[in-house]
Amino acid sequence: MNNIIELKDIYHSYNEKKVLKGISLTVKKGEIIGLLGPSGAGKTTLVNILTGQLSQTAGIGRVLGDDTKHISDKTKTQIGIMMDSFGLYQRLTVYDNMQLFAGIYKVDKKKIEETLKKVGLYNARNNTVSNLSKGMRNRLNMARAILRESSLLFLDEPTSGLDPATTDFIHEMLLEMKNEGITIFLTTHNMYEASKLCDNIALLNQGEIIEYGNPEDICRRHNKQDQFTIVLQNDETIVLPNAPESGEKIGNLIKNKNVKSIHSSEPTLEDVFLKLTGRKLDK
Amino acid sequence: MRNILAIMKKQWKDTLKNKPVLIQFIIFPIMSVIMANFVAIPDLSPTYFIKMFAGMFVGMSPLVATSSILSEEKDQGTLRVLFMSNVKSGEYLFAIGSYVFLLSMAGAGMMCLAGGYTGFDALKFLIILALGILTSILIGAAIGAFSKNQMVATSIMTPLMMVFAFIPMIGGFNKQVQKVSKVLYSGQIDYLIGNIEGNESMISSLLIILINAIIALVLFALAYRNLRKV
Repeated sequence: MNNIIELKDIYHSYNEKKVLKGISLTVKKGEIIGLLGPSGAGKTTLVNILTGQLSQTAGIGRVLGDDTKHISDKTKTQIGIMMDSFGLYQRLTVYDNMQLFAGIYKVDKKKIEETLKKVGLYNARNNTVSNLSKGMRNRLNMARAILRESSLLFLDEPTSGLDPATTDFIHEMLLEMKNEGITIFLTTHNMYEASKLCDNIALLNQGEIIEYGNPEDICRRHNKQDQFTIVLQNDETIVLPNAPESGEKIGNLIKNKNVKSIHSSEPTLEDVFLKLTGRKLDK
Repeated sequence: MRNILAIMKKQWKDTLKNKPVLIQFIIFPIMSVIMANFVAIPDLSPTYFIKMFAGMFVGMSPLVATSSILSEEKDQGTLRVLFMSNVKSGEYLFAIGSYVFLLSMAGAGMMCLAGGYTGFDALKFLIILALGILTSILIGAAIGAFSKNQMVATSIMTPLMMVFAFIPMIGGFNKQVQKVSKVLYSGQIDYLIGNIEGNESMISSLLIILINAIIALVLFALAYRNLRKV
């Protein structure tokens, strides 16, 4: 099965309010897809549909070959979920939290230890969850999501509010999982995270996908200025058009060792989102 | 079965660290043992305190424990995680219900020993308490499933618990209250335990307990669908 997720014209409404309006999307095996959008864009609703917690009002959805309205128990065992709210047993230890889900997932003790080592929590296994830092709780949440051999992971804001070191650690882990062939569906506000990790991103706004593709391609597509900004050794900045006549000028500057840096003028994902919707992603 | 055992095991570990729930299971049995063994009041039956605490235990502990566990799981988002991990709501409720039942019955056993009941009387004592515990668990589950969070659960559970636990006791001193007590399962449990050594027919009492249990079951069935919406 090459396509892990296939959505065609997915609609969802709560009472009269349309939350999703014709979402179509395909996610291939081993891909990291990022779903970006401000609060209330419909991200959680879409994830709930994809994980079988909610049925769409209209449209066809398939996850790992199953209809999203009837995801089988067997398929559910191949899906790992990490939600934004922690959902951890606060009075239990790290190990006890893992042991509960090991019992449910039918995995052995060895796997618990392996997973805790993988997320760097093995030495804290006897600590009570209520005494853990936010970063450690996030790691535990991640450990729970990857405890069973899932082929599809849903991660909701996996690095939200974390320090840079923990964020980097989680990013490295996600890239490692991608290399192992695991498909990752990431919802995030974080543009840097999306650019760094995702093969493709979908920008969601008011229930519609307003842009889709590889992050670099999206930025290039929206690059209307088509020019280079060159910072010289004396910190002077010059702007040259992306045209044949600029080639000689740039060549000469480089030959004379005058160039400190050259930047293209592509917008960031944040700029693209702002341009398309008139509002910022974190609003 | 695996899921049920995993949840029961988790709940046992959690209860040991959760004082408000733990105390529900031990306070009345311990008080019964202390009062039965160390307090001697002339002209008072040696089982007086056992009978009094048994009724209160049945009306209070399983109800509070079940609704507290359920509402906390909803509040903390752990119930949602369990459901997303393929645990069925029926499996979860069976696990929690069985767990509360077993711990409550351990308390009932302790009270039975403290009361010095033996043979058929001991069996009757345990069966009567088991019926009350099951009804309380159903009511507690209905409150837990219905409540959006712990605060709502507490605001529903506290007055109900007071009614079920104290009305039968107050009914002993007031005829009007006694009339109310007679239609409550905890009132009938109190009555049955009070007359455990006698040979009076238990049918009308059992019928009232059954009606209470059916009402609790209906309320629970109505609240059950809320569980899947966590």
